[in-house]
Amino acid sequence: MTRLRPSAFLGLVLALGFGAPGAAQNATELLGSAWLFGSAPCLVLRLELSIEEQGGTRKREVELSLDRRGGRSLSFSRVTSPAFLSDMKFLKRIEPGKPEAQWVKTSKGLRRFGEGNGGEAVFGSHFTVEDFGAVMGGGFELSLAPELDTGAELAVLARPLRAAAYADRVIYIARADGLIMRMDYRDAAGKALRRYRVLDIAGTGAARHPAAAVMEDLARGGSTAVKVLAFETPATLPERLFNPGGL
Amino acid sequence: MDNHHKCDHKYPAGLNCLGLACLVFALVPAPLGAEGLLSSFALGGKAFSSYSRALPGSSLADSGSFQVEPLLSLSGAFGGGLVSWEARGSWWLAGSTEPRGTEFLPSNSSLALSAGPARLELGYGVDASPAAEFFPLLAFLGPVDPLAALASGGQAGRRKPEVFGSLGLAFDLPFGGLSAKTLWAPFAPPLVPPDPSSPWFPPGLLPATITYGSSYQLASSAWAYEPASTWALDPAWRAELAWNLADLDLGLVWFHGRERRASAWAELSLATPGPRDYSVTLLARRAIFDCIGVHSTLILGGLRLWGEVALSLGTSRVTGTFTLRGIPDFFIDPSLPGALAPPPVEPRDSLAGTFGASWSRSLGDFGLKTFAEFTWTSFLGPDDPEAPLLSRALALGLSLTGPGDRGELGSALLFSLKDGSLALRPVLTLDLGEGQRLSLSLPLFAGGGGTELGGYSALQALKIDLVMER
Repeated sequence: MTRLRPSAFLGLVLALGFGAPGAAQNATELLGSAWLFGSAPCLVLRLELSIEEQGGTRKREVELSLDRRGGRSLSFSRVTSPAFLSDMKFLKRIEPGKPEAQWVKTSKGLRRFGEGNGGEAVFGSHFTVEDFGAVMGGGFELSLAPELDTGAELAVLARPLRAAAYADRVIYIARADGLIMRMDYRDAAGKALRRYRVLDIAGTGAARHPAAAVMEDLARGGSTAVKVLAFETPATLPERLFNPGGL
Repeated sequence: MDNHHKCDHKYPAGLNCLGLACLVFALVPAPLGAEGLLSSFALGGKAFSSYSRALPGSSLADSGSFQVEPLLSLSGAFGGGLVSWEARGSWWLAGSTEPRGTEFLPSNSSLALSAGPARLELGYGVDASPAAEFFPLLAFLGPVDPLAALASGGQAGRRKPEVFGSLGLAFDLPFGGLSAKTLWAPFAPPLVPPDPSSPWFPPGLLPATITYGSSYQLASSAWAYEPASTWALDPAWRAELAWNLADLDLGLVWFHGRERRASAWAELSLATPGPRDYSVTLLARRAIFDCIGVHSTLILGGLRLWGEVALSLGTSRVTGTFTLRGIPDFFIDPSLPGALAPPPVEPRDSLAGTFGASWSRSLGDFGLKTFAEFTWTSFLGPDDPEAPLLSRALALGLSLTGPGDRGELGSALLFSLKDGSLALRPVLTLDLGEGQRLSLSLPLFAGGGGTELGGYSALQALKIDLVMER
């Protein structure tokens, strides 16, 4: 896990669609019906990250805009606190049939960067770029893992096809509405190295969303708690937000 | 080699007021308390301190410096969320022990309004220079002074803030994202004198009659700027059309205006001849350019390729003067010729290209990053005597991060294709947590005394930088 520049607060988004997970026939369909932050086509969230490390706690606030209309997943993140990082922006576009595209805007300009950054930490937190990237592309071998299902959750096993810091990832998806409740990153022996968990849920229907979650580094210690400070489901978002030229 | 000149600034107070006005505008909505009108408020800043330890044989003295930059940032929306706004203001206080002195500047203030596909920004800042933004790819080589960054860790930039405005439009079309942006800086840019202590400074532009033990001694002098003319109209314009495709970004840029950096021609005048009591007048020359360029970035998996080609047509002329006074240990060799008066107008036409590639890879707890970059400038007339150094150069970089994001070990190598001289800067950065970083760097230079980089081997020093951000 390497550290991405603070500018690169990466889009806390999963390129997932909508639908009822119970009707899914395979892992790809199940992931297609899952969601991480909310099921509405457009979302705006304000998040507080509390990064717990040996040296103490650091806090970051981020504004995140998501647009998942038309089969796409567009995310725009902007650091709002601390002040010195507040002009840093990150844009990620995931569109069918196209490679993931991402740009970082800093005070020095706009820069596009490519793959190979998946293991980089998100804004100094315990989240990595990969945590929020799509696992539906060609980079993973997907399968259902009924032996890992819980009473309320279905499990999908994702094995990376390229070199990664883990052997596989287990994604637990709520049977009722597709909310991703947990993700375990495991080593070859099946031991969890990192774990994402939803701690609290708020809202109903399209406004249902995690109110609090945490990513724990079980191997080295430390964690990042996510608190949703504000959650909106606007009918639409301006295109400019998701255009690199608008950054 | 960190450069902090004792400056005699003559900025109109009105410029500072513009930045304050932006913040006042931003603060007004706060008491209204309407939902979303003020959605974020952050007060913080950055503190940078540096210690430079001269290597044996170096002509430098040990020195320390600091820089404090408090910053205020606000954002919100109004009109039912149709219009969003962002405001930022920062101030800059810097000081050093060698040369001794401090300076205080508003460094960046801006107010941006966004509605639909449009974004309007007005402000006063150092990022406004159209010339500096001409190459938008963050290339290592190019118009930015890479050696100044090597020497100073990227702190204490020598550019001066300007009033600016920009208007951008961005559309999402079926064939990709399309955007257009204009930026204008209406007033005459403040003169930024060349930094003789930087390897970027063209040493040939100093008259032969001035023999200086090291450029550092020149840096310890006091600069007297040309009379403030910031309110004089001297507009610069920049326009860019960009097209963002799946794995390719394309851009077309046009710029018209005066270059922001100045080159110096000496007009030797010994007001009071003596070892420590005289002055030398330097004529500042800045060209007015018309420049058109294309740039592109291509992503191929973990590989990032970029390139840019620019055609510049312009003339350079004297736009002001500045004076060196009372330079310690400054030495005049009376046996050499006198003043070198520059020609009144000089063509400055060139065709420049910069191409590069970078590759990064995660290796478990570690990350590996590499880059290579090549730049070449063809002068359409005689070789430009005012061209910055490394207009024909190669840069290579390698860095390893980890474990656990706690450190980064890297190095950048610069190679002049003009004369074969070299610069190498290994750097170790440690993350101390709580927004604190410590870095140790050692810029090294090699080559003959008359080469672009070799002449600076006498300026080698170990630098220890501590950065705190909130």
